[in-house]
Amino acid sequence: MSVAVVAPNEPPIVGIVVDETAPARSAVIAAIEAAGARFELWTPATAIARGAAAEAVVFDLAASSLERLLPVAAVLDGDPRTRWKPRVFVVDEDVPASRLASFGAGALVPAIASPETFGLAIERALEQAQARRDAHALARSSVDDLRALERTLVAVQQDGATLSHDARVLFGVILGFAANMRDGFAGPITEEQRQHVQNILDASNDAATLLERYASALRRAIPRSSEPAQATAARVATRQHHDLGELVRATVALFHGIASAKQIRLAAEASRALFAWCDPMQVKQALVNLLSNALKFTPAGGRVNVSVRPGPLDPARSAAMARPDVEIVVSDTGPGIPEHERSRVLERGVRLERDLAMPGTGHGLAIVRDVAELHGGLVRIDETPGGGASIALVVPADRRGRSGEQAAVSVSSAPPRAYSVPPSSARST
Amino acid sequence: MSRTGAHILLVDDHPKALEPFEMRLKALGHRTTTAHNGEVAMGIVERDRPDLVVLDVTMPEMNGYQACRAIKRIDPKIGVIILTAKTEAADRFWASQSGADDFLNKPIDPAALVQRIEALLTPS
Repeated sequence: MSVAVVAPNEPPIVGIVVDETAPARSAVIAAIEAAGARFELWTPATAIARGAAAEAVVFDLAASSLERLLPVAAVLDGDPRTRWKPRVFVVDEDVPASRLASFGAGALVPAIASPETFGLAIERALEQAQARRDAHALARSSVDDLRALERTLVAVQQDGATLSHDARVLFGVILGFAANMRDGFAGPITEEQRQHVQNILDASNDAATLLERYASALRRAIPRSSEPAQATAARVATRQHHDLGELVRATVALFHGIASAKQIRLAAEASRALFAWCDPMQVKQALVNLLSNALKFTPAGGRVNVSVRPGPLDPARSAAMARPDVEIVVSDTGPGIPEHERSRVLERGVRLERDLAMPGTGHGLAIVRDVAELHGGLVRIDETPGGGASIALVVPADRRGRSGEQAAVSVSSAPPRAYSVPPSSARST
Repeated sequence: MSRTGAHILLVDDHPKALEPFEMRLKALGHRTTTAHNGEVAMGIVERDRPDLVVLDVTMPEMNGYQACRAIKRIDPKIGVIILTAKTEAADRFWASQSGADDFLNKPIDPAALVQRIEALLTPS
């Protein structure tokens, strides 16, 4: 882009296109100088040569000079360097009104106007030029900023991928030695020691999975065009028939410490085995997010309850179902989620205004929704009797005859399947 | 029943990564050799013709995929397991392109790795 740049402290130039036979009007010259600019007198030829150097162009028109001067405007229009230069047309009384429309964009000033009117027209033209230059500079720096941001994001992505990889290698070493100890390859081990080592193994596995999720989230955030399929492939759940009762009990156990510190009564109703067709690690992450939210928003003295149960039969979904869904419901006695906000809070990065003072990123519930979608399930938000929020993660109980497989591989293009129902039509339990 | 007394070559540039696998495979009656880069591994493959090779991917000199292709050129009967912390779909693809018999991600429970090794050693 070649936008004429005026050096600082150098007065801007205003060109006056004038017929060689007619002297420039002194009122125009006085107005230019009063605006702090410098004037140049241009014949049609110099106007074309010097146009790019000027801030604005004044056409000094009389009936006799119209045919010679107006073509200059057309030439300036055809050059990207001069097309935008603000124009002022000073028009003699003898110019027929019918010709005015052919001048093109610009300010029209009658030659008999007062010096103030000339002054105003010139000032406006100079302001327009300045505004144009400011806008250009802003656009240029915005593009520069965006490019810098993009470079930073790519660097963060690469660092994240390297971190995830290297840490997984180290977790491999931890896991290797711990598993050998567990299995007696490093000498005899008591049952209690074996249990401790198993805890190390479980935590290492979970940590490694979280790291992989982090790297995978970074890959999704900055998709590379050469690998279109990976964004989805990386998220497809590795599923098995898994007992959600056991999963809930084990996960809730991790939160008893936080709950008692906040004087919240945390209970799990998961007495019997209830199998679901799911990726247990993903369901565990979703449950961790739901529990973190519930404990964050529930005031001291409140309750957080987690239950696992067969899901309600949904008329829209039951036809294809071999067995009903299984749902994990986390209910709290916090402020609840207003009905009109329920679908919005499942979107990535969305936080309710009232919660902005609390820590959080607005990703927790979006991840829960992602997990639900990957399983061909859904998230349902209700109200706990008496106020709080009651959020259900619903996943299929059985792999047979389900559309879940399809949902899992096409999630990136599928519309959100999460929905909420009002408390009045909530489940019958 | 899987056969015992097989010769397994373990290749990884991380010094501690192979120890747990070695310990366990030896205890189960297998013979193990270790190498810390692809080139050294290729020398051992040429000379000793192991029954199975466990290959890391990210290594100096020659990466795991290249080593895998070279091993399969020397003797396609030598089993190759790629064991890597690289988890993208593309990595699984490259492993299959290089002729690997199995692709596993780190971290892995050595019990699970040994199970895969013995499955490959068992003539089907």
